[in-house]
Order: sequence, then structure tokens, then C-alpha cells
Amino acid sequence: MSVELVRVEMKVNGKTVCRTISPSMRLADFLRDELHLIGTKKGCNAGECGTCSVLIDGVLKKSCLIPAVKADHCEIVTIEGIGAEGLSVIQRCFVKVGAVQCGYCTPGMVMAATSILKANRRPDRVEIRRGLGGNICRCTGYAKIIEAIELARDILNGEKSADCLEGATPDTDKIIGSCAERVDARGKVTGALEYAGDMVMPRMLHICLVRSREAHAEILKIDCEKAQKMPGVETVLTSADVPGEDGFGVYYHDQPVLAKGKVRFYGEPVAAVVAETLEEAEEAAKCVEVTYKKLPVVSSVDDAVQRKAVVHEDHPDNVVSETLVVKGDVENGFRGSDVIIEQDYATQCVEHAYLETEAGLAYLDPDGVLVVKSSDQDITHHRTLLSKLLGRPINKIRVIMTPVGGGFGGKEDMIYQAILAIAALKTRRPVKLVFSRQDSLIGSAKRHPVCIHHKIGLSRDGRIRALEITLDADGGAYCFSTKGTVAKGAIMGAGPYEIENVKVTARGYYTNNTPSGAMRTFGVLQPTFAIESTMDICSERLGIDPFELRLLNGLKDGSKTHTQQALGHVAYCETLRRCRELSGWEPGPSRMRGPVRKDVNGGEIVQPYIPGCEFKSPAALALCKSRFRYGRGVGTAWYGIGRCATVDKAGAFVEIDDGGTAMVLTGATEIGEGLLTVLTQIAAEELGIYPEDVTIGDNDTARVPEAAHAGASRQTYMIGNAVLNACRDAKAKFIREIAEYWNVEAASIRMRNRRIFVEGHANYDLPLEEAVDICKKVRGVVPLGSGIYTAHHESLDPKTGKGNPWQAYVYGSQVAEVAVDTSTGEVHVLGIWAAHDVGRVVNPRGVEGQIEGGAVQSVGQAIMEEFTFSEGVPQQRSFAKYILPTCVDVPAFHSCLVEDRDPFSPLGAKGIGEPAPLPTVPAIINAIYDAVGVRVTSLPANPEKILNALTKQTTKVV
Amino acid sequence: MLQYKKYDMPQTIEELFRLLERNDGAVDIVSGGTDCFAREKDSSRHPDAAIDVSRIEAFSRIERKGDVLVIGANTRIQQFLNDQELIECVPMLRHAAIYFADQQIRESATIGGNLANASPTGDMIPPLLALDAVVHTLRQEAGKIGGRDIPVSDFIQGVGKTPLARGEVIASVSCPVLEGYGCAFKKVGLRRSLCISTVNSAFLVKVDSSGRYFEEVRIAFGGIAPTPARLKAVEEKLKGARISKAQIQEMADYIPNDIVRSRSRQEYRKTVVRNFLTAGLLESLAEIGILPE
Ligand SMILES: Cc1cc2nc3c(=O)[nH]c(=O)nc-3n(C[C@H](O)[C@H](O)[C@H](O)COP(=O)(O)OP(=O)(O)OC[C@H]3O[C@@H](n4cnc5c(N)ncnc54)[C@H](O)[C@@H]3O)c2cc1C
Ligand code: FES
Ligand code: FES
Repeated sequence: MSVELVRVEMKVNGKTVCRTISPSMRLADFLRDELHLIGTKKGCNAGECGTCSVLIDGVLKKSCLIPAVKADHCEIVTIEGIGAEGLSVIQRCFVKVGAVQCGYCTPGMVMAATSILKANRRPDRVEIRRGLGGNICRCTGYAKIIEAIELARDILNGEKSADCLEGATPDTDKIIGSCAERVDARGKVTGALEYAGDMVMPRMLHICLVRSREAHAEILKIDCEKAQKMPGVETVLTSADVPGEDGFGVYYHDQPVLAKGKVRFYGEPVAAVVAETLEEAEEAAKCVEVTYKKLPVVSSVDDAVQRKAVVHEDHPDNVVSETLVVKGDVENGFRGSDVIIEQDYATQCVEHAYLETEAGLAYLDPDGVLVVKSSDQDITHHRTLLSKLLGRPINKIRVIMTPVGGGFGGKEDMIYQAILAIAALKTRRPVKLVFSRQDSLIGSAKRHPVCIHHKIGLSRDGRIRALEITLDADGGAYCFSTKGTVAKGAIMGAGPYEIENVKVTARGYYTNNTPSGAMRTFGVLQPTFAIESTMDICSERLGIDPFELRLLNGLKDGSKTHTQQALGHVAYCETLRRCRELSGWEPGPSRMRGPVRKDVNGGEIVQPYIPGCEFKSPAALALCKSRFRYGRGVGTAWYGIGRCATVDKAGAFVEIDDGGTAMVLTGATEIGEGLLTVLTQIAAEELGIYPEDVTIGDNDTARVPEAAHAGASRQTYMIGNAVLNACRDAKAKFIREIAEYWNVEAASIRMRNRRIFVEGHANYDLPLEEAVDICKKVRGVVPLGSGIYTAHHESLDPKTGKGNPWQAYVYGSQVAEVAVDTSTGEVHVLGIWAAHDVGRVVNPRGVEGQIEGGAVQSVGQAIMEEFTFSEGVPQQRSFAKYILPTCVDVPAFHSCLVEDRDPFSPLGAKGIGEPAPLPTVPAIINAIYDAVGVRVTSLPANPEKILNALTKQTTKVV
Repeated sequence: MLQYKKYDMPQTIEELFRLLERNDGAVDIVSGGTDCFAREKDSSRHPDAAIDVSRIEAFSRIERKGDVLVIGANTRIQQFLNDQELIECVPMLRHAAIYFADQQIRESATIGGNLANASPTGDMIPPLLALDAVVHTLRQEAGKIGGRDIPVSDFIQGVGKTPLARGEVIASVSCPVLEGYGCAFKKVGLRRSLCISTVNSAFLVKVDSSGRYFEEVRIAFGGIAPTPARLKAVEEKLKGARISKAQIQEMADYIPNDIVRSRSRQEYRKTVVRNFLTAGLLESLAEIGILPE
């Protein structure tokens, strides 16, 4: 049967459109590909994420599940049809409250918000949450999205004035520390921002990858002949097409661009079909025949230790790396302890689940420079790797970062960029590659699953005498960031405590599971869950309140860390005290106090979501509620800012530009965290202008100085200081010119509120705009500055781990409140109280957003998410199977920020991106124990584990 | 999976059968499409053509016929939450619908699709089982359009298995309008929106005029075996029994030992069944104002 094309007519955003299309085209694709309305995104193509939500005849639906023919004669409103004349109130509220991070969910969220408020003028919070129940956001933790909708509701109902949406322009001296609006919010709330998958180029080809269906096998033959001859196929790439030296990775170059000789994980790219259309590429990919000889599958760390097979020939013991941290003598410490506790922990494999899947384009520019544009967290590193893989000079490769729809570390390790580059070189045409959600789930790196053993010795008064930790991480088939995460896990894994005797042995192993790589917290979340659980166990055993126990052992001013680094001022205990106060914590040891404690249900929390609560009879509802047991728990953490145990650096250029504006050029990697806004604020305050006067742009290896990767919570710290230094440099040169022009002392000149002046001298006071003119036209000087920032981190002693891996540390403490449903084992996280030291707050809303979003990722890690394998074969290949927290699963947030300025850097700000999610997991796990006496030591604490444990409990009692 | 070469949207039953005839029944029937189009692309053979029945008005009607409500196969899950007649006549289905997916999916997903999909965890199936609903199908034989009435309990035959013959479609499902019953729906999965059930269950309870004895109890569980099923042993035991907490607690003993036939999470599912049984009965009673001691 040949395809019977159909003519459809729809009214889209008020305009009638007619097209003749294939009956298999989805409405989402129709909007995106036929009408180029790219604000409608495709995060899953299976109805599970809501990035494609549009209004069809006034009803909100997911356009990926609707064939375009089904919408024939319908009226469609997409994000492009919202706020056609300026932003709608809802969009403005999203911008105002900071409900936007990476922006990938935002168009769908705005559509959902529009639909909620259209149907119901006065939705309460439960109704808003339920209304958003089909739209996933991986960044914000939903808190600010809910806030935005509440604000919009009140403004639309006239209960609040729309004036509150107008940003009051602060004095430029107060821009740092103000809730400046995100510089990229507008493009995100309107859906106008183009992500890599939205980009098209004339004559563009498409790639479909042929992925391994074996977890571990020798490749006997790859037969591409049939595929080569399929319609539309331009070329089929295999490992033989790699022009340079094959092999890439962060620490070891152990991964081939396309599988070479053998495959090491299920889903490993074996060949790449490049064709005129994606459909043609997909059809041809089915015809590539790969013959394998199966090898034994190393499916776990145990298998790796037992050498069931060797994954990499040059690592015959399957060990990726080992890190040791030794301080004092643990055996001695145990001998001097009154109490010794041993405990095992295990954490699961977790997916980043950014809503934007991996995507990129590559092409040769007219001058023969190969351009790779991709959704990428580390273009500097990727350019270096590409140069080696392609055998091309580094300046003949240009890597441009496209807007990143969520990264969380997953877009830091290179994955597919070389395939794109080789395809573009070989075909001399632009080439595009977009991962499907399944590709992304099986083909991208994950958070390391880890097994941890603790032996801790304490004296009766609660002092930790000794702590011994072993940590084994499943690194998967290729190294990616394993070496680094294992090291960081070892360095930080004993927690923010001063302990005389510590020994940590951490190892990473090769297995045939999907590679593990960088993920928010870079190996620290797993041991933090363990040590903070152990602290809770100790609190119970010794009868000491968990805050008190931590205050006693916590790092203090001048403390020595586990790597024997002498610290300066330490804000850890301050975060503990602030958190305790904020949460109204009732003192007492961690002894399943849930049933008797009086601090639960205090303060603002979310009530456990019971579907149908609006129509169930009050008595039935009361029965549902009677099954909840409430509890609270504490978790804390520390984190080193910047690259670990190695020098870290960043650079920036600044031009004070015509009109009294400024241009900032730096390789900043905005992945949704708000970095561009932070840098804009820093530049604006330093130069005495407003954020809207600052132009800050794209991250492009051919146009901006290196500022390196988005990771290690380093961006505000490293790049913020580089930008600040560059601004100071430009400003000094500029002021020098004006000083000479005025014939005054340079030191007497100030720049503020778009003016340059000498305090108290009306004669020496000019709008900046005029001063720039004078500088350029009279003095003949273009006011340019450059700045760098360097953090001199030391490498550590390989035997003892001794040394100073970072100069700046941050600390955080959180309390979580949960309700456990005793009939199902479900956990509802109701409240999080968080106190974090961030050094200096540049943008309070931005920091809150990081805390909320980070904590909700940890809600997922703590109670629901799990990426599992069966003999190396991933079991969760869609968002129907890989479960993420939705809007009805998240708590209310209360956060307070501690500002212990960094003494080493001019800005004083440190970081928050990764520290934020750290305390949440143990806080939830400890709260579950408090509520029902079930100690979960193997994540996630899913309903099954909890209920099974509860059942055993009652049988024991009864 | 959306790779059809032909996609028809008939408006009438006659048109539907003409199309079916032309394709010799070798087509996919689609209504809301939330199952059909959410599946991963697969290369396994599938028909080239689809017939979308969602515009057939006759399948979208909701009609009261005496003490039976005939619900068109195209009825969307969200309608059970919005439509007053549905809420009044079959409150049981409202209790289930609110647990179903999210509002956007509910605006497309249909009751007919949920039945035909015959998933062990289909959320509308236990309630329909409890209601003793009957599926009305249509097919064309020797040029004549005729139909069958199949009780839901016979309709769901296995994972994705129904008695629907090639070219046979669901036209509607009829539910008795029950007076004086209390009902409850219990569901657990891994989260609370867009959630696939691990276990789901539906309860209908009627008490005698004294309010002290069970007159009738109907219980259906899904998610624990290839097909959702009624818990007849418990139903029988409770019929005419004295209403008390102890009595309800005791019912857990009448749950057949092999009730959980799903291979994974057996122990967990068993406990949930016990807990839901008590919870569902108590909540159903609470809905009609009875709070047993
Ligand atoms: C994100 C998401 C969440 C979901 N959540 C839930 C949930 O919480 N609970 C739940 O139970 N299900 C859930 N589902 C599954 C699905 O929505 C339901 O099974 C739904 O009821 C299917 O209805 P439909 O009209 O969309 O079916 P379709 O996809 O149109 O069809 C489903 C099947 O039924 C057949 N069919 C449809 N109509 C007829 C007819 N009239 N006659 C004969 N055959 C017919 C089709 O051929 C197909 O085999 C979810 C699906 C998605 C994508
Ligand atoms: S793309 Fe449609 S719901 Fe995810
Ligand atoms: S802002 Fe919601 S997914 Fe990134």
C-alpha cells in the first residue's frame, strides 16, 4: 500500500493553514516541521512529559499523541499564539518569579497554566498542582511555577495589582543580591528560543544510529551494503571512517566513536546512517546487519570483581580507578571507641532526564572550518577531543553551544558529537542528529550505582573517633567521569565532620552496564546519603539529637578536613542552626519519634495528595488520612567548589560599549541554572549600569575566551570572578581616560546608575553614554578589558589523599518532613527546610530555584527513580517506565541563605547547583525512619521496600 | 507507533463498516490514540491502515435506558469527572477516573480504548467488573451489521486479549445505575499523577435497611494477575454479614493464597491487596455514612 496523503485544514493561532501531509504525521511534528512553530517541544513523544501541550478546540492536549489528521478542522493554539501582543500575564508572572530555568518545559507549562486559569478563575493550590500533573519539569522543582500561576490568578482576578510585575530598577550598587529577571526568560516563556533540535539548515542530512542489541559481544561483521543502497541514504559510517586517532573520554580515551571490534554496552552506537530524511535514515538503519559473538556480560560490580569477563583489555582487573583518603589511624580510633556501628548502603542507577534530549548539527563553513553546534556542557573539552578524533588543527574546529534544555552533568561527557562531525566532513553537507527519548535513556551516561560499607566508632558523648568507608562504583562500559566521581566521592564521602581517624577506599569498576558519568553532585550524593544515614543511626544509638550530634562533630573554623586541609572560616554549624530554627525542630534523638513529635504538620507544608479529595465524603477522606504516619529527618552536606584537585581557570573579555552599554564575552555554559543572569548582574553592578544594558552572548570556541565547563558548581565562582576582573580592567582603563580628560584623580571617579562622576562635583558628571563617546572619539581609546580567575587547587597524595583539593567549600543543612502511607508504603514528601551557605547571594530567586529543583531531583532519587538492567539490558526505555516526580509529588519549600563570603575571590560568591540536592536524600530517608521505623539503606525507598519492611515489623510485634 | 499509510475517520457506523470491509478488517481501530500512539516504534508487522472511530457520533452517546446507563465507547475518561449524568449514575467510574493518567490524557483516552487494550492494570476495568458492566460490540456479517453483548468479566481474557473478532468494534458499555451503594477506588503506583497502577481495585458496597449488615459487596482487583478479576470468595463471605471492623479485618483470610499471579513484587502486591481490601470496604461504607466500630 502506498501512503495516502491527506489534506488538512486547521486554524492555528488564529490563522487558517492547509497542508497535504502523511497520515502518520503527529500534530507535534506538523506544528514543528510544517509550520516551524518550534515552541511546541518533543521531550518524549509518548504523552509522558507535556512539553508538547497545546490547546485543541480549547482543550489542553499532548500533541505528540495526536495524528495531525485527527486535528483536521480544529482550532489549535500553541505557545506562539499566547501573548501575541507582548507577554501574557501568565508569561510575565513566570518571568517575574523565576519559574523558568532551562526553559524546555516552559512552553508546555505556560500552555497548561493558561488552560488551568481558563477553566477555573480561582484554582487553589491543589487544583493548580493537579492541573500541572501531566507536565514534567526537571529543573525548577515546580515551586516557582506554582507561585507564578498563583500570582497570575490573583492579578487576573484583580486581587493583586499588575504593577508588581514591573521590575523596580534598583540602584546599580544593589544589583548583586537583587532578584534581577533572567536575561533569557523571554525567549523561553514565548517558546521562541531555538534549541539544537529546533534548528534546520538548507540541504541538511539526518542521522539514525545503529545501536548494539548486545551488552557485551565481539563484532564479527558489519554489513552496510544493503543500507547503502536504500533510498535517500548518503553514507553509512562505521568506526573505519574515523579520520584521526579514535578514542575519547574525560580521563581515559577508552571509548571509540563507533564500536570497534566489540560492543561493551547495550545501545552502544555501532554504525550511523546518514540520509536525506530521518525516516529514510531509520529505514536504512534497520538494514544494517551486525553479526556478533556474545561474550559473558559483566552485569554488576561483583561480576567485575570476579572478572566474569574483561571489559577493557588494558584494564584486566576491570578497575577504572581507585582513590584513597587516609588520616590518622582508624584501628586506633576504633579501639578508643565506646560504640562501633557497621552498615551497608546501596544506591541505584539514576538518569538525568533532562527534557531536551541530546541533539546537534554539524557543517563545514565556507572557510573549511568544521562547526559543531550542540547541546553541550563543555565545548572546550569537546573541541580538544574532536581535534584528536578528526586529526584536524584545533582552530579548524569550532564548537558552539546551543541552548541546553537541562544538563545536570549529562551533557558534560561527549557522546555523539564526533559522529556528527565525521558525517559532516564526509558528506560535506550539514548534518543533524537528535536523540529520541529511548536513545537518550539507553545511550547517555547515568549516575553511578554505588555500594558503600561504613564502620564508625564513637565515644559515648557522641564524638566520632574513627570512620572507615569503602565505596565501590559501577562505572559502566566506559570511563566517562568515573575516575573523577570516585575521587570526589572519596574526598567528601566522610561528610562535613572533623574526624581524627578516617580511611576511605573508593573504587570504580568497568561493567557492561550503560556508562555512568557526571551527574549533579559528581559522586558525592551517594556517600552523603550513607554518612548522613549513619549519623542518624548514631543519633538513635547514643540518644543524642541529630543536630547536636552534627554540631559536636561538624567542621568548624580552622578544622582540618579528611585530606588534612586546614580550613578558614566554616559556616557548616551556622547552616545547622539556621535550619533547625527555620524548621522549628523539636529536639530529641532519631528514635522513631514521628508518632509523638509535635513539630510535624507545623509551618507551611503540602498535604499528601489524595486524588478525588474534592468529592470523597469527609469520612472516607478521613480514613485515607488516618493511614499516614508523619516524620521528620535531617540531612547535611558539604561540597568543594570548582574542579577537584586540579588548577581551575576561566577567562572573559569586556567592552564598555556605545550608548553606555557593555559587552561581555566569555565561554559561559548556561544550562538553565541562570548563569548568564548572574554574570550580567555582576557586570552591571561593577560598571554602574543595569542588567538590560549588558550584552552577553553565546558560548562559541571561535568567539569567546575559555571559561570551561558547566559543572563542579564552578560557574558563578570561576566565571563570575573572571567577568568581575574583566569589568574591573575595562573600567580602570576607561576611568583613566576620563580622568585625564577631566584632569582629576582617577581614584575619585565613580560609575553608578548609568553615570560617571566625581562625588560632589556637578561639573564632573556625565551620562555613561557621553563618556563612552569621549573615550572613543576624543581620547581615541576603545575601553576593553580582560580578566581571568584561577583557583590553585592541589593534586592529592595518591596514598593518603593529603592535600588541598579546593579553596572554597560550601555547606548546607536540610530537614524533610514526610508522610508514609501505611497501607501502600508510598512516601509523600511534604516539606523541605533548607539552609545553605552560598558565599554571597547574587540572585536570591536563582539560588532558591537551584535549591528547589535540586531537592526535587533528590525526591526522585530518594523514593522513586531507578534505572535497572537485566544482564546489561536497560529496562526503562521510556518515561512511562522511568518515573520522575510530578507536580503533585513535591513538597513545600522554605529556604534561608547563609552568606559566608569566600575570602579568596573578589566576588565572594561560591556556588549552590550541586550542594542543593545533597542533604535532601538522607533527610527524606531519615524522616521515613522517624515516621515508621523503617531504615532504608538501599535506594530508592519505593513503596515496595517500605511496605515489605512494615509487614515484617508487625509480624515481629504481633 | 504511528506509521500508517492510510488513516480514515468515518462519521457513521455504516461508513465504518464499509471501510472495514474494504480493508478486509486488517486495520487498527483507534479512538483516543493514547495507547496506540504512545507505544514505541517497532518494526514488527502492523496494519498499514487505521480507522479512527472517535468521530462516530453513535459511539459517543451517553444514554439512560431505564436503570441502565449506556456509555458510548468514545466516552473520554475526563467526562466521568465533568459530566453530571455520568457522575450521578456511575459515581464508581468518577472515583476511578480521577486516578487515571493526567487531565490531558483523560481528555483523549476513552473507556472503549481502555477495555479493548485489556491491560492488567487498566484503571477502568476493575470498576466495570464491579459494576457487572456489559460490553456491546458491533460487527458486520454477511453484509449485516449485528452485535454481541459481552459481560466485562468475559471480555478481558488476558494481557491485551479480548474476544473481539477481526472487524468487530466496541460500540458502548452499559452499566447498571445502582442506588444506595457506597463505592471506592484504590490505586497505588510509583507516583500520584501519570501513574501506572501496581495494584488497583474497585469496591461497591450495599447495606441492609438496618444499616448493620452487608447486603451486597463487590470487589475487583487489577494489577495482580494477567486479568483483573472479582474477589468472589470475599464477596460471598460478606453477603449478609454483620458490619464491623473486626469482620472486615477478618476478610483478609479469605483472600485466595494464589491471588497474586504477577511474577514481580509478589510479596508487596499481596500486602497491598490485604490493605486495600480493608481500606476499600471501610471507605465504601464511609461514603454511605457508615463508620463501623
Ligand atoms: C501518559 C499516559 C498515561 C496513561 N495512564 C493511564 C492510567 O493511569 N490508567 C490507565 O488505565 N491507562 C492509562 N494509559 C493508557 C491509555 O490511556 C488507556 O488505556 C486509554 O483508556 C486508552 O484509550 P484510547 O481511546 O486512547 O485508546 P486507543 O489508543 O485509541 O486504543 C487502544 C486500544 O483499543 C482499541 N480500541 C479503541 N477503541 C476501540 C473500539 N471502539 N472498538 C474496538 N477497539 C477499540 C484500539 O485498537 C487499541 O488496541 C495511559 C496512557 C498514556 C500515554
Ligand atoms: S512530547 Fe508529548 S508528552 Fe512528551
Ligand atoms: S525549566 Fe522545566 S525542565 Fe528545565
